[in-house]
Amino acid sequence: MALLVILTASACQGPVSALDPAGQGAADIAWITWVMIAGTLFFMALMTGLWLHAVYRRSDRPLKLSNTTVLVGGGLVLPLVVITLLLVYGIRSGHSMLPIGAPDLEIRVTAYQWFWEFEYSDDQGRSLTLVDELHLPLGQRIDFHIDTADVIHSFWIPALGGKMDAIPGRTNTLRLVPTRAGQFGGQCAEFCGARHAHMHFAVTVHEPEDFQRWLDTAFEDAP
Amino acid sequence: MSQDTTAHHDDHHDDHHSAHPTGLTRWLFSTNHKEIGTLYLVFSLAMFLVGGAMALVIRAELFAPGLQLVNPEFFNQMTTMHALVMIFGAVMPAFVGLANWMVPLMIGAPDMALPRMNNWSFWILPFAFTLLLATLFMPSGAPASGWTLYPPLSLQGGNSLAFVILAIHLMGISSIMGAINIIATILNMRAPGMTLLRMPLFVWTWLITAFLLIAVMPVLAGAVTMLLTDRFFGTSFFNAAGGGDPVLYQHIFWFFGHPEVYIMILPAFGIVSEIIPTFSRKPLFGYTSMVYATASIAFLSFIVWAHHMFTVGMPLGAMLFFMYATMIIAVPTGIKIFNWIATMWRSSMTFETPMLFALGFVVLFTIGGLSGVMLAIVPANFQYHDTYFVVAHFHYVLVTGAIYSIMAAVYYWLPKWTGHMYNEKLGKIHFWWSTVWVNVLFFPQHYLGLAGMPRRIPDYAVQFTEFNVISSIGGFMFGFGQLLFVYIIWQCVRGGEKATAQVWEGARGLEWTVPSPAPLHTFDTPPVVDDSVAVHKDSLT
Repeated sequence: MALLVILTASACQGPVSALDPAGQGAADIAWITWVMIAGTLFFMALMTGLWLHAVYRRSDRPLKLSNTTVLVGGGLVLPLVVITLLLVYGIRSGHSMLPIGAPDLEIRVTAYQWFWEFEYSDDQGRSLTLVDELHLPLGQRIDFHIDTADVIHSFWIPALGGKMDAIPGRTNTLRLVPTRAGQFGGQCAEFCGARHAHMHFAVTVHEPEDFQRWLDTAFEDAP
Repeated sequence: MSQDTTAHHDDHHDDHHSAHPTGLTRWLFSTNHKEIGTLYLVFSLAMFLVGGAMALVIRAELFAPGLQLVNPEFFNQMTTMHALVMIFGAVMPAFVGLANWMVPLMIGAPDMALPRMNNWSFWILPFAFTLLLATLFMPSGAPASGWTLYPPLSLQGGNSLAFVILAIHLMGISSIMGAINIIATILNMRAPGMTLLRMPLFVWTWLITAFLLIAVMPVLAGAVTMLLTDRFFGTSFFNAAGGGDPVLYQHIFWFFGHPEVYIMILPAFGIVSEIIPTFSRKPLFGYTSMVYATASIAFLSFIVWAHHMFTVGMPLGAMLFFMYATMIIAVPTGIKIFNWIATMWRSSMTFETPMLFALGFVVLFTIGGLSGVMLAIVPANFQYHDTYFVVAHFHYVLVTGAIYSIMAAVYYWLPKWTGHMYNEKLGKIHFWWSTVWVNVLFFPQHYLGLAGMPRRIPDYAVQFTEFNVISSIGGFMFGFGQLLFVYIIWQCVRGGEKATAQVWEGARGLEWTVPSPAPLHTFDTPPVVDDSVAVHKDSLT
């Protein structure tokens, strides 16, 4: 058991962990994940308890439940209450992840077999393209406009938030808000062929001033 | 299986009761539901071993980070073929085989309604799988785009795509004919007095499953045909450059794909609903509610398909609809699980191997159901989608769900098929061995997925190493344990303690009124069914 806990902890930490969130979306989802795991454990315990009771309690003072209690209570009321609560959560949390309100930064993402291109631009007409390397400012609303040059890919930085598919003929938008500076890993999440497993990219989240300094230098150096 | 028939050479009355061909032609030309059922089940077992071997290649490569044993191209062929072989070769034929054997026996019919079509629906399958497996030896290799064959990736492959599509068409034709046969049998051939609401639940679940098959197999056929014309005839159904849309394929595919999930689990519900009452020595609790719950699940399965594709960029309203519809399925499923518990409540249970597998099903399938609810939650799905959490979820549903129910059914009815009792001690070892290792195999994959390991990758970040090692060890132990299953079946076919007609003390229903082994022809004179023979009384009313 102790071993299990240590192993769980070791898998939760790490540069590409969704359970070690460093972004608003990821934190929201990590929270509901723990809530749902607790709910799942509760339900499994309830079921196993009933099941063990059915198996071991033979005739002496058996817990008496009427047909309707079990059927209506367990089969109808319990699931309905749970899914109603989850629906309320879904609407609230779903809205918070939509690109509502103007973004602070927009980045064009283009997926290729098997690498990523990230294009930054500013209102002075300067632009910059990076391959498999992404720099983000802390605490700002960043919109990624995601497109692909060939097959379907999926843009995913587990520590920052959910994934969004890159689909031929469409441009999908994903909003992320980093909440912790540092180095993170991103990867392609939609199976895209032989080197899908190696379609990684590196993500660095900077303090906003550091980011601006980095961006200015990068624009100057860009060809 | 062990028929005492005398072969009549050069005779022209093969269909006469005492004359029966032997050797190869017995199986090739058989129109007998029991023999065809046996063919289906043996075929399914063979495919289970082939698909299992592919799974072991996958787990061996994932034993350590980095690329060791196979190249990524071959790894991707293995993930693709493992899924196709297990779904279309192992699980679906096993259920059709069980229906062939048991549905006529359970409703008091002499045979299936359309015996010659029955022969054809089985014998298509070996050709379909020859085509499918032959692609492994082709220069371009087997398909490597995942079993879902999403374009544009699937269109990048070689000519093997055409073989796969033809194989899928053949499997679809086989399934549709099998489904028509089952519906015709159940609706037309029931013995006098076997009203619809006296039918065993296995028959009910198969009736509903057969309608699902007829509804969705043509949809799959349509989707893969469009792929075929896009790849070889220059159409642009799914080609964005030509005005098509790759997301269209995903909608069509999952409109088939989600009911397909229930095609693989509704008959399992039926099997468990047969076995638990037998070993609890009590009628099934809430029989009618079980029938309605099954029908509700079947209906709902048609309106939830887009939960497989939340990350393609859908409007929030659409996502909330599919999320809510998906979670509603928890209600009829919850009713079923509580009905099974209520059936066991205050009963005098015994734990023979079929009961163990049925109980293993109830507990472990519930884990798969609960992770399914987690996956349905829209924002959370953005993290879980396409990770090992999904892999863990559907393997709990399909291995400890569908496969466990098939194993339970095999142990339950094997004495009826062969006339011998299987080795109970080995059966129990098989159950406990499988149950321990299947959890070692799949449970750690939940953590891997939640932490962020994507599916369909031959190589992974070092932070995922420990859980992959555990999972691989579980995989090999579980996999090799299934050889014991093969041995137990072989031993039981060869001989063993004679089985009585009743076989299990608490067993009710028509199939237990015929001798064991069931003679080739049963119910030539229809039995008369009344409440004393009827399997289930509705304890709700």
